[in-house]
Amino acid sequence: MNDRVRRTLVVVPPLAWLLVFFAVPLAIMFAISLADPASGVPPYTPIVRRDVAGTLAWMGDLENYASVLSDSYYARGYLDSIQIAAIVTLLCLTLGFPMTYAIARTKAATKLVLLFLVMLPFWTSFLIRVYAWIGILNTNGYLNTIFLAWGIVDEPIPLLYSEFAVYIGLVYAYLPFMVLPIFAVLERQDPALLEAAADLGAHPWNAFVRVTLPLSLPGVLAGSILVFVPAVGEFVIPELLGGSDFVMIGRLLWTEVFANRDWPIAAAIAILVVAFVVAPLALIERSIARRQIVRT
Amino acid sequence: MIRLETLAKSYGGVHAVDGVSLQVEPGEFFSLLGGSGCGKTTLLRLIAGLEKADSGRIVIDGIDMTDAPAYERPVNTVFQSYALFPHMTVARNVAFGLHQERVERREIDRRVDEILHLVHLEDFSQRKPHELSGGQKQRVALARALVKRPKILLLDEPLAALDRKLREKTRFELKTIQRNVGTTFVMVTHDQDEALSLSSRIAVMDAGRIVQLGSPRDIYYRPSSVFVADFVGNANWIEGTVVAARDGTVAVKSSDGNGNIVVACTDPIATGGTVRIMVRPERITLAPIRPAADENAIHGTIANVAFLGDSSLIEVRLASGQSFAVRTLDRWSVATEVWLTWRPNAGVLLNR
Repeated sequence: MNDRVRRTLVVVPPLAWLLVFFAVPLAIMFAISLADPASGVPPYTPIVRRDVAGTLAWMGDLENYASVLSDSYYARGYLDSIQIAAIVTLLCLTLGFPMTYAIARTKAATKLVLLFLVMLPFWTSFLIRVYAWIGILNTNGYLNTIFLAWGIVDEPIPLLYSEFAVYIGLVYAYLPFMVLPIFAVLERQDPALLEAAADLGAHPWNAFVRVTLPLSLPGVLAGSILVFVPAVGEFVIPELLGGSDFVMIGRLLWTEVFANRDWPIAAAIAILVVAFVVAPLALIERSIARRQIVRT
Repeated sequence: MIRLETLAKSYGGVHAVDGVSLQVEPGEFFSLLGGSGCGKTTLLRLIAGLEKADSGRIVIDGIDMTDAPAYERPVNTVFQSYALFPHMTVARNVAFGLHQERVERREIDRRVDEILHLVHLEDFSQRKPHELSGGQKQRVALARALVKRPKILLLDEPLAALDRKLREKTRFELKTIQRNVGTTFVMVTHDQDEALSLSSRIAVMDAGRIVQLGSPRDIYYRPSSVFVADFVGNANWIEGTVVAARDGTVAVKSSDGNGNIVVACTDPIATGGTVRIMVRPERITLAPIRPAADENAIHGTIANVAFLGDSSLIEVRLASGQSFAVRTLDRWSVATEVWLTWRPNAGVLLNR
């Protein structure tokens, strides 16, 4: 087997996977977004129709995009989602970085245990974990029971079905996705670099700012994207923990698909999420990854 | 000037550095030579402040630095792995230490230029470390440490990562640079050639202690122990008992039937004691016939010849079954019967 064949064998499976499970569905979604809703199966009109004479006629249009972009209801949904996802990303970062730094600095045996604890929640169903938060945040949930027992509050405070609950849920669910990539870069850092910094007169804090921090940026960026992107489209957590006035993109999509049965507009909303949020992030990541080739 | 006073450091009951005292003078090129695990690197890290001493004192220029953190010591290190900051250019790597000292920007630029010129890297200032060869990285590491104008420059196996040809070239460069800047260098190495060729003085270490301290010639020609003689260079050994001692020479009766061997020795020594005589391969001459009586002579047969280019290393099998290594410029062939001869002052008498 020569190198060329071997290289092809390595590259083809992931490319095929991406094509079948990413590019093709995206293309189908895009096609649906150009159609109009209809009653029936499928619940949208075809975008290409053969007329009596047998010629193909193009039926698609960008009307759905126009209505999504012109309706402030959708605009608010986008902006709220992006804002919430951004705040969640920041919270995960401020919470996750020191935590990961501490884990990476412990001795090997403890490190494994701590990492295991970070990943432990994944062993339980995501849905069950979110329901657990309902039990904790409920008016007569664990948290209020404790607050009442300790006399911190006189009557139960409304924690559940609020923005606060959504943030708790999102940060809780996405923190591991911040911790793991940062851990990977911190773990790979040569400890001799910090010794060199100290040797050259850098106070530990300066060494951290000028060496550890810049070298962990690729991990911070990867973690931020892993948190931000799914947080923007998150449906379960705002649905279960948020109030009814809480409109995130995921919820909008759900309403359009299941309540209004308007697949084309839902598809347009989803395509716009990809265009506005995911595509620019992917570009940023690529450019930074190219500049930050860190080899030793 | 640096003074170490009974410095000790152990890891989990193992004495890595076991009561080392020594003094390095200004402008010296001082080497710590020893095998792996002898404590030389720990000793260097103690001086740098990267390890904390269990006991003893480190005094640099009259100031007790035993408990000072690494970033406060007037000492800089060239790390074995170089430890260059991968996200910074060569210029910013070199400027790093000056930024920490809050040196003025224009002064930083001037000194960085100057030092990069000294190590011939002025054209590489905007490169990142991963764009450099091993030798260039080594020079950046050197420049980064030297630009701080340290009282003492510490070098941890600075040439170990380079290939042989480059290592020999860099050796001369390192010596030139040291002479030009006049900084005290303290180098850790396991390579005896490196230590012998670069140092003004060498401390040979074993099991956390200094076993001999002296000039390269002292260490090589007058090793104080069997360990040092064996570690530094090749050695041929003859065991025997002292039969006579007078006029600065000692006669030893070989226990392997190699006859009586005469060796120069000014220390008083009792007859009857068991001793070992060490002779370096290049101090032995090969001759087809027995030479003059005032030289030591042992008969043997040439077992192997290794042509090394600049000389040949010849293995001679003695009647006793022992093998002797002889270094010579002459051409010999295998199975030739020869006499190995050397002057009494070419041998070294060791009793430990």
